[in-house]
Amino acid sequence: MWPIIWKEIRERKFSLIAFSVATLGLIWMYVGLFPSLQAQAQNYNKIIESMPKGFMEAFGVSGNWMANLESFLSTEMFSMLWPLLAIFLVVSRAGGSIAGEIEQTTIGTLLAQPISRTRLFIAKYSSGIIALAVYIACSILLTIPLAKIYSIGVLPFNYFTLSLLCLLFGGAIFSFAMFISVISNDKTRVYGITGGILVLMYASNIISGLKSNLRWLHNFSIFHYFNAPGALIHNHLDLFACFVLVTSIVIFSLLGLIFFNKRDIAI
Amino acid sequence: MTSNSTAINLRGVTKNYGNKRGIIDVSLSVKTGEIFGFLGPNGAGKTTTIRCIMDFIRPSRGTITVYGANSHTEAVAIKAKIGFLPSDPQLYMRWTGAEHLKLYQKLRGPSDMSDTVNRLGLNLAVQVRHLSTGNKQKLSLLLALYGNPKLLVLDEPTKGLDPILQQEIYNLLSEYKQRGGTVFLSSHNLPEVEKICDSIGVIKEGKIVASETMQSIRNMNIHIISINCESKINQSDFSIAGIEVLHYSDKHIILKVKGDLTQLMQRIAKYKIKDLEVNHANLEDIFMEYYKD
Repeated sequence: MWPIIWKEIRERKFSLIAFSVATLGLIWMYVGLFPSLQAQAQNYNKIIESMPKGFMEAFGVSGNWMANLESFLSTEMFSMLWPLLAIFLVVSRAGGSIAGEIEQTTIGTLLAQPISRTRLFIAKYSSGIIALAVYIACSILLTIPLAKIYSIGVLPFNYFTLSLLCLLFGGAIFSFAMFISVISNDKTRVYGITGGILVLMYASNIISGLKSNLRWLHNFSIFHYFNAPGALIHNHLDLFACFVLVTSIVIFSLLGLIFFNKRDIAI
Repeated sequence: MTSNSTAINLRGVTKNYGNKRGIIDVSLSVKTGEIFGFLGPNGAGKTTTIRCIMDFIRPSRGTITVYGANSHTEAVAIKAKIGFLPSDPQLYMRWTGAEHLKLYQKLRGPSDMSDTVNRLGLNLAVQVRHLSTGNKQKLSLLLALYGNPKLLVLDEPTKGLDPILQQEIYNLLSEYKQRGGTVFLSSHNLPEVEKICDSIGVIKEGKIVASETMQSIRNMNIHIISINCESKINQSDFSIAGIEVLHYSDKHIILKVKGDLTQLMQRIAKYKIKDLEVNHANLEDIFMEYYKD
């Protein structure tokens, strides 16, 4: 199994490095800008206060978003930009991992080897989770030493809490995308279906924040369960949100495994 | 029941693709140590049969065993014994040949392939995307031969190769057979099959229409007879059971004759013959026989 995990990581290392370096660069920029932005916090807060409350909640913006680095990053980075980048990373990996190999027929090389489809799926799935973990380590945990460089006080445990939440969030989307990848024959279908569903979920989360009578809609959105400010500012993980994310991971990874074992691969 | 001398055994294998025809009730056996040629035109079901053997797709009905083991439930053990060559290379375009070999080494254990690499004249340092079609095919063949497997399943192994390299592959397969290996190969190239195979199976519209040893095919009493006469030939003189007119012009006729030639010779005797040529039918003639109608 390890040779397949290593092959997957090696084959897609450039995208992982590019995503990690780009995100780290963004975070570095925000960390570097934070001291000067914090000096003008009052002006920014006035603008924030003039916005509709539900709208700002939907984007994870609170009134005291400049209070510390955690508040600032949770608003600027982890409410929208980080999830978006993580989605691109995991969906592209899932798409290329199985549907992409079927499309290019290279999966035939692996299927002809003395390795079961279960092990093959687990190896490909594990390599995606490893890539996500590396991305989280580079883009979240490295914030702690970066903040030290600029002598900014941080709450280190909160970054680990956020990392766990991000792993569950990214893992749930990756599991779903892997399931779509297993039942597809080309990666564009994986991008289209997963992307389309995530856009619908994101829209329903925004709408549920703006319309009180549609508040129930947020239950169907994965973004509702990704409370980055709660994890990063308050070091809090909602147990129900964790349950939903873990359940999604288990269900979609098992469905992916079952379908991969059962499906015909006519390459 | 599958005896130890049977490498591949298909019994009543059917694969449905919804409305599209796959293969229907395919039964055939490949003996250990033989080279089995699997013949049929495009779309007849050759690749579907190979995919079923390789467990890439699962039959709707029927069973496949390889060395007595079920091709689906014991797929891992079986694949350790099979070297597979697909009809189109399934290689990683950005990898070099050496990187492919390294993956095989990790998955199948170490094996020295330097002799085969030299014989095929393959440069392992070049990325696959920069290789010619023939070189991609050579690399695929090298990977199929990796670790000297007990059974080779080859889907059109000489496709896209020049005659010199084709000959090199026939030599490799012949040596492989001498070492006790078994080969199941599909091909469109009938002279190739005639040259290297011990047995053949012919598939037509998803059904096996013939499964014979090459020896029994050679023993089939089919002749191709070309007659040139000095006078006009009356075509109706040759309307005899077992005789098919392949070509007719006034003074020239080509016949395919199945069975005894005596009756034909009596008919020919009344003509003044300018030239007479009698040949045993080759595999192509016999193949066309199965594919009539």
